[in-house]
Amino acid sequence: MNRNKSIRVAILCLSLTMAGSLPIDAQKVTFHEGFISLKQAFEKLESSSVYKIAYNDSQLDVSRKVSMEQEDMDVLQVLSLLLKNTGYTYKINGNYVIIVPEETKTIKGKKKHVSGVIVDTNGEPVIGANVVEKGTSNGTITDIDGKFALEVSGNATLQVSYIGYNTQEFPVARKTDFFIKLGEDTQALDEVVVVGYGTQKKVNLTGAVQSISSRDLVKRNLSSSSQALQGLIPGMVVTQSSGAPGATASIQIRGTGSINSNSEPLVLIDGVEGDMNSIDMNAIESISVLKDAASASIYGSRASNGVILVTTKRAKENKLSVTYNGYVGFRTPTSTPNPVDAITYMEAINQACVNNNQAPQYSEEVINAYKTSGADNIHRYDTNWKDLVFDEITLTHNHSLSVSGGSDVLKTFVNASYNYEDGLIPNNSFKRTAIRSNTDAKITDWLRAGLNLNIRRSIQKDPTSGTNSIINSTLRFTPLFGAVNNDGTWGNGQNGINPLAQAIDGGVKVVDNNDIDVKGTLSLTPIKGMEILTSYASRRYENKQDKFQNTYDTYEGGNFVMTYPTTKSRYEEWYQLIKNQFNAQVTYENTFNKKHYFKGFFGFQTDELKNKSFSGSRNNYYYDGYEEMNHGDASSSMVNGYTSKLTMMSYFARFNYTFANKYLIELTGRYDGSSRFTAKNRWGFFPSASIGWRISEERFFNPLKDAIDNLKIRASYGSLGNQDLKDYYPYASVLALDASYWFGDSKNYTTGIYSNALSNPEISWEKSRQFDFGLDITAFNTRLDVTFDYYIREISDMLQQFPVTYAVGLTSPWENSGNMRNNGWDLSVMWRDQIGKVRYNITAMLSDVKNEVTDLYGNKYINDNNTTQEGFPINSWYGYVADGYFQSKEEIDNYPVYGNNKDNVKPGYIKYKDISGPEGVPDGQITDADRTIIGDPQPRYSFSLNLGAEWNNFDFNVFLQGVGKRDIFFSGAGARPFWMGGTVYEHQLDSWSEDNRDAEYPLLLIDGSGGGNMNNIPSSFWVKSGAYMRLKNVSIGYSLPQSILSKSGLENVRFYLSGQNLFTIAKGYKGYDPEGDVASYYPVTQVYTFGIDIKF
Amino acid sequence: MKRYRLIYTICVLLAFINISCSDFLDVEDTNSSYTNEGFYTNENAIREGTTGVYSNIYMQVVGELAHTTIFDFYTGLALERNENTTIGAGGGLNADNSDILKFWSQLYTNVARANAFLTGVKPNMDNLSEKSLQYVSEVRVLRAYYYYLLIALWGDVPFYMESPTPDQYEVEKTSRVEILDFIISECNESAEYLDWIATDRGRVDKSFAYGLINRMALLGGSLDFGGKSAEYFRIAAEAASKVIGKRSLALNYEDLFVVEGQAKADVRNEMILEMIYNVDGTNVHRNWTGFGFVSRMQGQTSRHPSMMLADTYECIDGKRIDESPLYDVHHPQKNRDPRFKATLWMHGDTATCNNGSLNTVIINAYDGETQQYNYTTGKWEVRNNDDINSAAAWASFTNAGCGYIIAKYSKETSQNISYTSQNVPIMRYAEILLGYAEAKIELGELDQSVYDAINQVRNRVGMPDVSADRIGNIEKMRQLVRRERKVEFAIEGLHLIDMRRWGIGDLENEKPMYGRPIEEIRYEGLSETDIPNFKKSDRHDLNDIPDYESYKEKLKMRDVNRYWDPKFELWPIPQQELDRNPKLVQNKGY
Repeated sequence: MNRNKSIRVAILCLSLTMAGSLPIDAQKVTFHEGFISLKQAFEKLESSSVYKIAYNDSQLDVSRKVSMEQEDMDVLQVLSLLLKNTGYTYKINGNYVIIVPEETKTIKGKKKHVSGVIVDTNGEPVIGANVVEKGTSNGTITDIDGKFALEVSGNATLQVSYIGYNTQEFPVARKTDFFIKLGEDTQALDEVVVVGYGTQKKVNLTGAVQSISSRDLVKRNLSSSSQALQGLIPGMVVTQSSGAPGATASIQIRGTGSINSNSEPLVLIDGVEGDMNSIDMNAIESISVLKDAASASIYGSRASNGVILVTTKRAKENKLSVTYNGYVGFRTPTSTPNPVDAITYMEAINQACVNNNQAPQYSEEVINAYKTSGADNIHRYDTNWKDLVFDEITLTHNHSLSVSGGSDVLKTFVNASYNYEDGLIPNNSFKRTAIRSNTDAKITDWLRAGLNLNIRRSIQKDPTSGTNSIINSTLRFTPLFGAVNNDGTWGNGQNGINPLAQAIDGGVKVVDNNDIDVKGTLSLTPIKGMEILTSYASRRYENKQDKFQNTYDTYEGGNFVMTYPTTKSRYEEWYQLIKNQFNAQVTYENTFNKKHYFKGFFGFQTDELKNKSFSGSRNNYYYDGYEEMNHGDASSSMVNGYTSKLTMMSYFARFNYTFANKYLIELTGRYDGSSRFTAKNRWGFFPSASIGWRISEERFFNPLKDAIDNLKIRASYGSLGNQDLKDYYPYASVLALDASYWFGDSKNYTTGIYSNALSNPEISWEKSRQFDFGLDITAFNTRLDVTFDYYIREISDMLQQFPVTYAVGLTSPWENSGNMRNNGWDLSVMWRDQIGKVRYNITAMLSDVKNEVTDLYGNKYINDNNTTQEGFPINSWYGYVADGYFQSKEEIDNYPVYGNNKDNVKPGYIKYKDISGPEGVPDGQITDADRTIIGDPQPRYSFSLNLGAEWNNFDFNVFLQGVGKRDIFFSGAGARPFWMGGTVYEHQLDSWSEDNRDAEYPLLLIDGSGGGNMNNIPSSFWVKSGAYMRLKNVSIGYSLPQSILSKSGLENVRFYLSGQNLFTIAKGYKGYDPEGDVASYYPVTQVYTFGIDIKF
Repeated sequence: MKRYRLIYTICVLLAFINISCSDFLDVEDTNSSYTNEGFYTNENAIREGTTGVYSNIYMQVVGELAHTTIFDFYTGLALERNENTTIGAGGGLNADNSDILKFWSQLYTNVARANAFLTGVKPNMDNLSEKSLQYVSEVRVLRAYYYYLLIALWGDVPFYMESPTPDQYEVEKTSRVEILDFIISECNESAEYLDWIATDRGRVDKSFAYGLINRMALLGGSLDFGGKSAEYFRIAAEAASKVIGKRSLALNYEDLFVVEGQAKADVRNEMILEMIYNVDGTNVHRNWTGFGFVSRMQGQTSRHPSMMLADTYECIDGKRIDESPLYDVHHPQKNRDPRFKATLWMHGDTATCNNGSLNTVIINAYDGETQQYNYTTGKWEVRNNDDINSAAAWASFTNAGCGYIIAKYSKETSQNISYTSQNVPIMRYAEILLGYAEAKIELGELDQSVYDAINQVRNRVGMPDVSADRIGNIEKMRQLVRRERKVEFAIEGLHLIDMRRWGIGDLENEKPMYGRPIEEIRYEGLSETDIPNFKKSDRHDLNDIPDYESYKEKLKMRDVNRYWDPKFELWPIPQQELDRNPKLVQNKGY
């Protein structure tokens, strides 16, 4: 079982920078440890000197007990003592102390000189990797360029190991020059993770923080980084509800954090608030997710919904390295409902008419004409809108080029990327180009500077009529509407709305987003252990929208019908957002009396956000091809604009204390002020505390140490705030400006103002408190890794707009009222191992969150089909309880009916249960008192399973993801045949009849607007399980063998095939994606890609 | 070097202190909106606040139809396209009805806008200019109008005279009598500050204030609010009499509903209050009526008039169709009150529309082809009949409807019919005349002024004076004034409340709707005796309710489930409102 794994070498950057600032001469140490293991002794030495000790535990028995009773002794002297009689000695290489065998044994056979270079998965040279001749103690470690040289016997096998990577073996045979790429371990004990305003060793974390490396993201081959996060962190629910080009996924950490306020996590890119999707995944170094209050509270008021910290790549080495990643692929919808053909449609409509005691809408002659001669596309249409409007296969491609390198004083990482996605309908696409450069300069030994520059441009193209509206019409329109006539002219669709014509000829809307982020940092080290860091970041985001509404002519029956719409028009909008952030922070860390590690941190930050917009439009463009603003009718000109501003100011501090690497404590506090509130309610203080105990470091744990590498329990409690409202001035009662009227004979435009919202000057922070208990286990030489967290998240003083009665006539004010609780647990289990030549890893994640509104001051919200009430999850589905169908007239006569008029109820109607009445008991009537909670829309039991394997040059990945429990309320076209004059889908034909009494749908009826069909009132009939499991991603890759590469000058070439959303098991209505919106949506897509990664 | 370290450190600290001490977090002055408190102090602000109250006057519930154009579809005079969706048929009028919720919430939105404005102006009332007082009065009258609709449609309702404070959000209903008395006094007080005819078209004026009192008091009188029936009829008559002579009727009835006609001074004089629609301006409101689209090569028809309405029009001799020798069962449009043609189209009529260009077609309820006039060649040509043979034919006047098309508002030829901008009247002078007459009749005061008022309305369209047999006969005068209100104001939003006032909902809605002769019979196939019976009972006769029982199998039938329930006298309070305000009690029967 004891594989060659944990080669203890320090983290590169940290140690190298320290090497620059500390002297390497003899350091004195004092120990009173008594008997401890050799491994622990090495750790002690490391913690009290600049040295990093490297050894191979497959050869050296590090569990052997040694005495550590030294008074003021040279480190190297201590080391000699410790290694006495072990057959090992040490070598010094810069800061590294490498434990090597004593040159006692003579190596038999002919000696051979081998050399090579070792790189990591990114192709970066690996310093300090251990290279050993297998079965001997003959070995060395790699130098700063990742190079090594060794004398070995002729038939030797090289064993290469490095912390965080799998150990690999290479037979020497005739080869003398090796290029070795390490296979990355997904986790290891010495991993450092990014936390708020700094980094921390993973083993020393006391909060619920989880991190993802760029490797996990990149292998998904998705253009949107938010989508790529799906299933990677337990307790983080990522939903991809749209397949529109450039669409992003929504992210929620540990349940819904707020009723009305924002409930998406704070995303910080290199410390500055940003958009997950603005970054090319190849430029991401790592992502940390701060889930509990204690880890997030350093971000105080902004972090109530968790924090995602994105760290981008920086140049580590001087050596120039160039990588290219690219893929090309195609996308196709996962599932859309199937509308029926014309004859089926007419027969279904006629059936619905008969079911409602009315004459059939379509005569026998009309239907017969279709049956005998089919559609002529001049008088009779049988349009398959879906086939006409949707492209079944659309293109996507992505290219990313990274260059990294520099000198000791100046290093740069530059990434340039291009992404293109074609939409499912004509004139619909998204493209994004981005350049990111991260530069670091060392000005003096104590002063460093950094400059991050990110320039991004994305262009979103949609038909002017709106992508969603076109897709909605496409899926909903009846086959009898004309799309294209047999002479090539446009059909009239519905009242001139012809989604095909709209998409092709209706004009194009182009949204041009330009984003420039700059961040400069200066870092000063006035004394040892102290760092003062200041940074200023500025983001300027501009959005320019250009929209031209073109008209098209429609024809039917050979006659011109109309020009739709009646006039051509142009609309342009410019929007600017400026965000400035100033940050200053001081960190000091030190270890006192060898055992007391201390780190203190204090910071100050200001944030400023400014919005400004300007828009204009004109109508009546008379001349084809002349479409600019000035070509329009001047009398129809309209201009609009607005501006708003938000500022925040914050003070924050953190204090860490670690005793003997066993007992960990962290205290954090943040004091935040927001301009959203009046001076009196402006400031909020958000403290937190967390503790950890590394049980595995206790002496009594030693017997288990062989099996369990690390065992830690931790607990945290903290409070957070939330102020993220749509409104910037919620405390002020303001007058809306968008009211106008036209007085006089000449209808003069007159501006008007009005009150439309109630205000509340007392508005202040929403608060959340979170308790988290966590357990981390790493066992069997880091092959097993388990993290478990249980949490209780209490949200109080919720920011919400209580729905006031319509009679008040204004929209509700913001209030701080009500409490809600999310409690749940997150579990992730990872196993990785090797069977023969196959290395594999399995990561399983499962999490649950249960939401309950605990206090609404006795109030409740009821909104049409959902309710928020004390003791239930927010927005629980609400309505009548369906009890199957009425099967006979007798049954109707003996049962209460909704609306009280039994003449209006027929067999095949939904039967509702009389569960209550005005007196709280069933009253023989179906009234509003019979409504109850009929489902929970919140996803429960989110799970994912990630399988990865590597064999020779092949790599293979499978990713499954899903939700175990959720209720979906189906409404609109998703549920109702003929909804709003629409068509009927094939699966909806399974409706009640005498011969089909347990049909999926009630008696087929025409669905009028306003009301009238009592089957459509909100009831449990329309609630279906939203549980699903989805094969989210499968990818298979092949890397060219070294023998081919070495001739080409390339370091690494990998090809891969990948598929996204390949297979789904779900229970809702057919044609509806479990992740998509129910009623109308841009279909979620399957994506198949072929890609290549090249490194020079 | 040490010195630079120190300098840098100090700079950071200074930045800290500098920002911390500034008013960095006070950003209110960057708000681009005005703040409500203390805003309404000058004439400009008051004018803009008034405009804000007008801007939502349309209260569009369905598509872009102004609220007044929808009300008749809750009566026997008109039909929604989908069968069994009007009134009780099919059971759609329940607390969950979304259109009812929209009416409710839009009316209260407008009340709230007015209340917020009036509350904002209140502290400055003593210092207002004459013009400002006029604006404030306009808002008070508008608020009265919205409350009138609320009590007429729902009965007792929540009542706010000022912007409510949070403890007033959940209130009990206030009696409709109390509200009616308040809004009548509001109009009386406000009228003082208003001109008889507003300088700015579209504004509330004195004629509207008194006209509204007439309308509101008729409601109180007919439904005997608080047992004060006679008192209200007196108020109604007096209010109307003040306006009589101050305004006049348009010369041509059809001018009232088309853009070019509305530009004429005589039309302006009749239009007491209009909702202004505008097509060329910076914001576009489309009076997209959707009436009779298919026939005019445009989209689908969503609303239809009933044959009950058509048969209410007298023949040109001033007699009802069952009494006039001029009535022709084969060509019902012949020899009729000219308002028939101004309001309705039917089989055989020639209709002109503008769907981007002018088209003139012959409306045909039965054949797959029809005639179209070719403006280039000047000849009639055969064309496909879209009402019978097109994708939208199922929604046409003949298939979904009863064989009639609403021509009122739809005869626009100067603008594209899907994008027209004719104003929609809320009140016309004709209503003052008929409202005066009705109040006087109910008071039993049949003097010459009553006949004069009715004659004016009838003579304008060429109908004869009140016939001699009616003079001095209250019942017959009541019959005539009700008939006049129906035919004069069809699809103008008065009949729903009139139906309730007169208590005739049961008569109009008790039976399925009948329409044009079926395909096998056609108009040619009707026999001379196939004339509806208006005399099923005295009530039917008094209210001109036709009965088709004797030849119903020859007619198209619609809304087989149509029924009447006394609860329909009031609309249900929306379920969502009951959920939000537990103190509200649902209207009886729902």
